[in-house]
Amino acid sequence: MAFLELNNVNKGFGPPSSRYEVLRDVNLAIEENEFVAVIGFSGSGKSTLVSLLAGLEQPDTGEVRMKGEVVTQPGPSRGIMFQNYSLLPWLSVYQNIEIAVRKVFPEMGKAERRDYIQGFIDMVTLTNSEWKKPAELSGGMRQRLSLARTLAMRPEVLILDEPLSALDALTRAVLQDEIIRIWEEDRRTVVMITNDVDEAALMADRIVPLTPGPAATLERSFPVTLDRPRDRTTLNFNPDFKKLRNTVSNFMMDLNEEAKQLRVETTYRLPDVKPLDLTKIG
Amino acid sequence: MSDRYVEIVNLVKAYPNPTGDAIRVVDGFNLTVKKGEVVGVIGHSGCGKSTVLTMVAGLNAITSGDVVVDGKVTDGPGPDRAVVFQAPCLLPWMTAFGNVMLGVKRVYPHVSKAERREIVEYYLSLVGLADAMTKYPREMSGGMQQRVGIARAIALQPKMLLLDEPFGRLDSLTRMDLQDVILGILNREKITTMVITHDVDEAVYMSDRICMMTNGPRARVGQVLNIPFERPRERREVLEHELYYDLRGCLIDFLEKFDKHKHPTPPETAAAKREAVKAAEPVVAGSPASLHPSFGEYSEDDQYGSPLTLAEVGGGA
Amino acid sequence: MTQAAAMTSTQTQAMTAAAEVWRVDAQEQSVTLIESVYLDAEALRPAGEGGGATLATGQGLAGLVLARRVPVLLNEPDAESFERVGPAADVGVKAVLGLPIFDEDKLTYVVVLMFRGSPGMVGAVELWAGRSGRFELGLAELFHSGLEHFAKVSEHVNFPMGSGLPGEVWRDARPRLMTGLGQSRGFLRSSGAETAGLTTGFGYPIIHRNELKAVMLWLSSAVSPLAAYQAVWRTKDGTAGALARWCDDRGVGLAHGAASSEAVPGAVLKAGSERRPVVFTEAGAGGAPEDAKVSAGLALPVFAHEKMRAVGVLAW
Repeated sequence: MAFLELNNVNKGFGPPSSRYEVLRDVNLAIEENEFVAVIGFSGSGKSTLVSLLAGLEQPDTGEVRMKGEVVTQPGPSRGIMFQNYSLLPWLSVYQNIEIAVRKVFPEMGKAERRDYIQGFIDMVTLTNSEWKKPAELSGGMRQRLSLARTLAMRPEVLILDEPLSALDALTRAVLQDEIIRIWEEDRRTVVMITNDVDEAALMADRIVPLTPGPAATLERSFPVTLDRPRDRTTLNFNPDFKKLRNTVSNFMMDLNEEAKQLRVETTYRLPDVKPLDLTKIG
Repeated sequence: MSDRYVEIVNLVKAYPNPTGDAIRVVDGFNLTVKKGEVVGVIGHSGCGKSTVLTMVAGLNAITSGDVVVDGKVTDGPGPDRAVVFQAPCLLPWMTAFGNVMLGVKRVYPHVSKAERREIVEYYLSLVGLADAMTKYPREMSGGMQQRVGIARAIALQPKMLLLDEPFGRLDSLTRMDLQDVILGILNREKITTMVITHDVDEAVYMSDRICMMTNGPRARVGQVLNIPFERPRERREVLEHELYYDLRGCLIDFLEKFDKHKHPTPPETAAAKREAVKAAEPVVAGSPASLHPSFGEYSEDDQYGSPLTLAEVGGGA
Repeated sequence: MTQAAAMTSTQTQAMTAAAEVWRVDAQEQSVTLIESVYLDAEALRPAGEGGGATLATGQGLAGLVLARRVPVLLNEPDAESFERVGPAADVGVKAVLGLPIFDEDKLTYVVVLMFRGSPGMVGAVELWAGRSGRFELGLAELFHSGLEHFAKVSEHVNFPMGSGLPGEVWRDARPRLMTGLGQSRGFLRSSGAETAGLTTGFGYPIIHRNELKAVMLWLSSAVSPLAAYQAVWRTKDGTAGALARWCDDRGVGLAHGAASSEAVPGAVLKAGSERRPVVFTEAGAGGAPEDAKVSAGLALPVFAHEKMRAVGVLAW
């Protein structure tokens, strides 16, 4: 029995007559302490997948199990970090974490709670920004806060929903390293949704592409056997990394249904005319 | 002529600074592009790469320097240089066809209505939208909207195509797909192209040469990497090419070198400090008409200020 | 020779095997060997030296440089372009370099250098030259030992004026010494260079009047430096009297600041006042500190715009 399981999960929307099938026959077994990256694409049903894992939604058929128990509702054992920062704008960095901690650990004493929260603020290197509001933070800092708040709830599974896709390449790289550094401390079970093969190869133990929707599913999984810690600079010259990257990229290209539908038509002909040279007139 | 189809000479973008010298965001960007060549420009966020592109497009005032396209010094924007931005900015009340027709009407006022229609249909079919011409933006995915943006740009038959992080907002699958759409078009139309990106794989796959920009302010071309893969390119073959990861590594190394987070401290040794001070001295810009930038960093007691030209040794020894 | 014995007894063997200065005659028809040094490679000394080994235009390596008026770097040269193929092979020479030295309009001297290569050695000599239609330097010729990966990428890299070591030498029109290549922000090709152990780069421009013909790079590792001591002296007014130390001088592997006094060393002064490359065989003539353990070297002047700009020193 795996730690977290999706068994023959189907999920759709709409009435039976015009039903939109989002996920079909999704099966996934995640072991304890495993870091799994699900590569999803626009409209491939990845947000539905996240909602099912979190217990925010129920599958039409099939089941989601955690430690053998069927997941029927959201719970603090599964912490989610969303890509669009779900922070409360009127609360400070400290208060945003505090509100979550109070909810999950209502018995925690005042002094203990203060130290506990500060620990997570330090962990994501937001020290000295405790009293800033989200609007005063950069995109990268907001994602750090989001991560700290999720971690502070001590979930048994961390669900990262495209945590870094809104960030620029540089900030993204810094945060990838930081998430891995934090993860290495206790190797909690992680499911990360991403749209980037390199991010998946750098961070995860296993890469699972979600086929493009409708009726998206998980067909294959690619184990990442690269030694940790992984260094992004030397990784480029690692033959195993190259092979994995090429295999996953090729697999994904073969999945591209939209591209196949949008075939370049050659029946149209271009009339033999030239645009007016406006540079001569002007 | 076709060897120097596009010449970007000593391009400078400076903003006035009330408390001191003007801030030079881009400082002496030089680039020669052959006809039909695809040049990638890569660098960190804020390195000034988009500033270079918008200056080349004529959308951003040039402080000094010149952009010469096909022998003509450009002055402001023009349909000879078509731009595709990250967001295609389509008019929501017009179909794909209508959006492309807007530009076509402007540059083909002298041809018949039927011919204009044929032009629009041809370019929309080139980007794979033959069956989606009557769709409105809201009915299209982000990738399809960007296809319309590409068709709109190339329908102008520009001398130069400028792509400013064109796929930055798209997921990696759609991005790969659109890279192929653009390369497919460039194989047919041979448009001289500049593509700004921060995606190393995109740069290697699409470009004939890649300009690596140093960090701003005072950004300029650090080094240029030639990409020897032949066209047309097949992604699988490119990925399997023995040089692929070496070239990719070269770009990653360069970006690492200019990664402010990893190398935040300035050089420490006395000699390095002297060098740093020297490098911060203003560069004496050469005459914009000349293709030969003059020596930089001369101290006042240095009397050899005239330009050193470069012999075209070609194959060398 | 004691110096040769010292070289072989240490595990770091200089990759440079020989340095020669050939004088071009007034008509630019022939070259005559006037100074040379051989490092553990006496067999390379040509028979006619002293009486003056002379080569006509197009004859041998120095004659080839005279004919072409550009630097010539040859890997495993054949007998047609290099007159001493046999002895060179015997002492492990893998590549030869001929450098034209221009003063005003004239080609006045040719410098010949010979390089060893073996599996344990790491280093490269690169010739960077302009590419047709581009205002950039590209790699034209290359000799390297133990740098396969680095060499593979370098082939595809170009430098505009002012960028990277070749571009800086071009812009400044004088030699340039760059230390700590792995960390240096000025050395842009760190790919493989750092892991391969390259530590020091020495760039030297070949200038004819005001035109850059090429940039030579010597890229050294600590295990097998191309030159154990390297320095650059610049002149402020174009005369030897105004020579002053410029940027770092450094022995490869020596601690920073291990430079000798600021006095202009004899060979540098001579190169400046006689306007010619100088081979020296006395320790100290090139200005190296004692712990650099060098005893011979080459002082290479640079002329541009009819003035002397700088003197570079490479010592073994």
